[in-house]
Amino acid sequence: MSLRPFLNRLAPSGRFWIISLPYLWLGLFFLLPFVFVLKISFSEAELAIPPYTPMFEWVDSVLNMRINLGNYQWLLEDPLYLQAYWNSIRMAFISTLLCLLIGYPMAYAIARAPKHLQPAWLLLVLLPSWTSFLIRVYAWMGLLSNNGIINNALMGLGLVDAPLTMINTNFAVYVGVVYSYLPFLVLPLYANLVKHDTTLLEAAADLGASRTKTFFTITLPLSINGMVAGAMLVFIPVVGEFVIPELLGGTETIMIGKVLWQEFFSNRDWPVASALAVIMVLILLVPIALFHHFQSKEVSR
Amino acid sequence: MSDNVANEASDKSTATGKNSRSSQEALLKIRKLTKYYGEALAVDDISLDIHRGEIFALLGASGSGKSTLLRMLAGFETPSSGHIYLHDQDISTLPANKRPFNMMFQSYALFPHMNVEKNIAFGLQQDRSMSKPAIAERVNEMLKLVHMEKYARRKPDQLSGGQRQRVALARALAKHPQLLLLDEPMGALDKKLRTRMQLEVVDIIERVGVTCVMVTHDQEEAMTMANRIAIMDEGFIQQIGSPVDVYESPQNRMVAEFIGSINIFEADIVADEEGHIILHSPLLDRQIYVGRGVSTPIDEKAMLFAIRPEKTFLSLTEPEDQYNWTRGIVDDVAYLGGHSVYYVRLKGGKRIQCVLANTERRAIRPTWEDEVFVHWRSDAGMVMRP
Amino acid sequence: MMRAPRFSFVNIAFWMGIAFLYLPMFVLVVYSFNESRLVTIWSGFSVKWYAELFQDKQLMTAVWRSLQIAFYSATSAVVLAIFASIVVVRIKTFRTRRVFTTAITAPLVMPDVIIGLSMLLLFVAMTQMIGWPEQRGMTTIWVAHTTFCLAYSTVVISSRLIEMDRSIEEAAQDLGASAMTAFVRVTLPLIMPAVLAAWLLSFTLSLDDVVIASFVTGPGATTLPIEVFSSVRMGVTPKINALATLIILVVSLVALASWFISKRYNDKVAVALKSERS
Repeated sequence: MSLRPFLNRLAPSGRFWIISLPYLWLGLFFLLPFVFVLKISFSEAELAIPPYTPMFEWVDSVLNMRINLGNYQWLLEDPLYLQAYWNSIRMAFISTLLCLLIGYPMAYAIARAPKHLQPAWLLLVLLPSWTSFLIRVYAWMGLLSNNGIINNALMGLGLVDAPLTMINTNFAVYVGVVYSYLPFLVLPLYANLVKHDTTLLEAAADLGASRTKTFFTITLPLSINGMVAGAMLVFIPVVGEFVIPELLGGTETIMIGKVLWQEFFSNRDWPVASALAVIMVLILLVPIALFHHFQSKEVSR
Repeated sequence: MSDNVANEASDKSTATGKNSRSSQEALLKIRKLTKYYGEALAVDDISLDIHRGEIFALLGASGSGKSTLLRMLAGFETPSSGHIYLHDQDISTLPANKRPFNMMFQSYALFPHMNVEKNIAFGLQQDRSMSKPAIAERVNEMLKLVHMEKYARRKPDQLSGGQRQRVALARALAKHPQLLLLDEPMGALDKKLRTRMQLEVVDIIERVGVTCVMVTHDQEEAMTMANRIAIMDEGFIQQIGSPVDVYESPQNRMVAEFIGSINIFEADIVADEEGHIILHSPLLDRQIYVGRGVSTPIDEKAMLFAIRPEKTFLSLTEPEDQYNWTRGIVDDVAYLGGHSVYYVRLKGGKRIQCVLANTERRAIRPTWEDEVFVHWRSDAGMVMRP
Repeated sequence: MMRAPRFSFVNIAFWMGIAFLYLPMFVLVVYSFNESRLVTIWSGFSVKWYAELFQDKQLMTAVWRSLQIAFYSATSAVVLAIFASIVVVRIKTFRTRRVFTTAITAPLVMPDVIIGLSMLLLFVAMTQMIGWPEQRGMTTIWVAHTTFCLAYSTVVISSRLIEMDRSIEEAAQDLGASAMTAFVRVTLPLIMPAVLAAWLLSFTLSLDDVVIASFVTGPGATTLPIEVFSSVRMGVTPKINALATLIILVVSLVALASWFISKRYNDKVAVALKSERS
């Protein structure tokens, strides 16, 4: 009998622990790892297991802390890395623009489709993204290769004499990125556009604005939240993309995700890979903040 | 004007009729109840008793604290300070699922994935001691009470608004609650249905004999359904009384203006005699003679004189009385069928409202820009402290 | 409602976009039935690559392993996501809610290489400090996948939970149900479609991941995407086409089925919720 009050007192705290479990999980497996990335980016590569020097060491009963800025210096000195960062940002930016150009009309078409068709149309756009990402990129390998379907078709029609070089170029990477990330942009954009009050368009038409004019003065400004949120959903992962440049890109495609992968797996230089990651996170902070800002604006609307 | 007299009489009779059913014994005592949300004060030091068997309405605008008070009674909010006693037992901190109170929610909050039967049975099933046949029997009883036997297997989304309300009421009554809480009971219904359901709900509540506290922003609803009304504003109670009390004898300007329409004038006392007082308002042509309605001893000179539009008369000719009339110009007329509301501009520019019952089909009535005379009986107005 | 005409610019753009999304997959599927080893030249119909696929023991082991990881990751992510969603929805002030939502959805907007690298470094450090995980493999992949699936699942489940009329749960408590009973008997059935959707999404995400798994995996724990990736790097083979076709088939069937089920359920609940509110 004396156990019950004790258990009762424990119960609310038990509930507290269950409720906070996901946050503990995230803290442990998502936030804490960044501390280690930061830590290891300040150490030196070593032929050991794990392949880096410890940051803290006891030398003659004195705790020594070693911070090695060499990795960062190395990144700044070798133009390869700066080139990789710049390329990644540029390619992410251009492919985000391409996604917007293709995705906006699609999202708009779904939002303006008859109500009962909208879910089906949306499903049509999203379905490919549920199948394997890897397979979607792989599909383009077969299409774009020198003796691939597109080249065969072009030569068969007599449009070109020799096969166009498409695979292993930046062009192929753009195609792959747009193809893979398009649904991620269409979804938030559609969610925004479908909430628009259509009487606004009627009001604009009533006041004498043409369809085009109405679109640019009413619809487009109102959809800015969805556009930015969707664009960031493409931009951020593309900056760190590895699979697409690896499979479709060539030697000219130097993207930071690929460089990081090579430093880590081929050169086994964990500290440089960590430093690359730290700088990448710093670069991405702005777009991530943008995403959350516009996303929460969108949600609170 | 005969219309109004009749209304008043029927109001009184129903009010007393309802009163007879409730005893003066307090079922629930609320003492110094206060609720803060962070810095904001939602309920401010409220003390009141709920009598056994009565229907008690909390009436106020949104943000007046009425919903917070109801939620504290239900157990969804814990008071910042103060107590709620049920039969002299403090239940202020008892969680909602342990209180013998049940609520009919504004949205009805019917469980969309359960049919009518299961919705009503839900509360009974929480009581472990109740057998299955007993539950089934009680569910049938409740279905019969609200005339929903035919719809027992329907899901809430297959019911009309009125039917949903009946199910919500049956669900709340199934557990024999000591107190029934109604949150904006007609809030989700359209106007036509509302009047019908008000009477139907009161009928069911009276048949069951349960004590009831309701929250509403609709004064008509409160007056139709409740025995006693508490007018709430900014977290505290301005006045408690029967529908007749709060309408005919409002204690202050807030109550007077909240319930119905009223014309209020600032006036000075010029004579305070046995049985009557005389006031002067610079806006009115003649002095005001008040024969009754002055219950509190008056020590200040500046007072408010208030009169309801339906207690004034309009005429095109000058009255012969010495007191209680004024001259004005008709500014606007709103013809509402049963009666017309006249907006009359007085000489100071103030606009007052007068109601004229349309007892004749096409009588000659004052119209725009006519000079009219507004007059009233000596017992029609009220005197209040400013 | 101002509706675009049937052959308007946006509608043409939409169907061209759809063609862009589906044609490559269509070609992939067609060429999986090609007899020739050369994937780009059609030489006749054959299902021999499918037969070869099922005889590839190494690949089949990887498939089974990936399915297991996906099942466990999706399940644990969804359970955690339900808790996380309750927290997010219960918070009343908009600002605090935003902080919690941002925290839980952070993995959503983080490149895979960074998640993979940082998780691996954590596991290495943990092994050094507390001796766990002893060896990297299925367990570490499960932890990593649960983490990012948790973010996706929370978005799906919490958006549904926020939509729900809070008074339905209060009504259950008012009728005498404990907080636990109210959740299990009322809230959970109402958010079930979202929970299922979150599970399926997590399952496919886990089944699809190559980058994070490559970082945190250990000896002998090759998953299907890692296996596919390493063979795809060598070039296009009809066997992979056959595998891709099977994956596309399974995923579309599951997706379509779950879409129809949840649509039917959603429509009913949406009607109920809407009419409750109006």
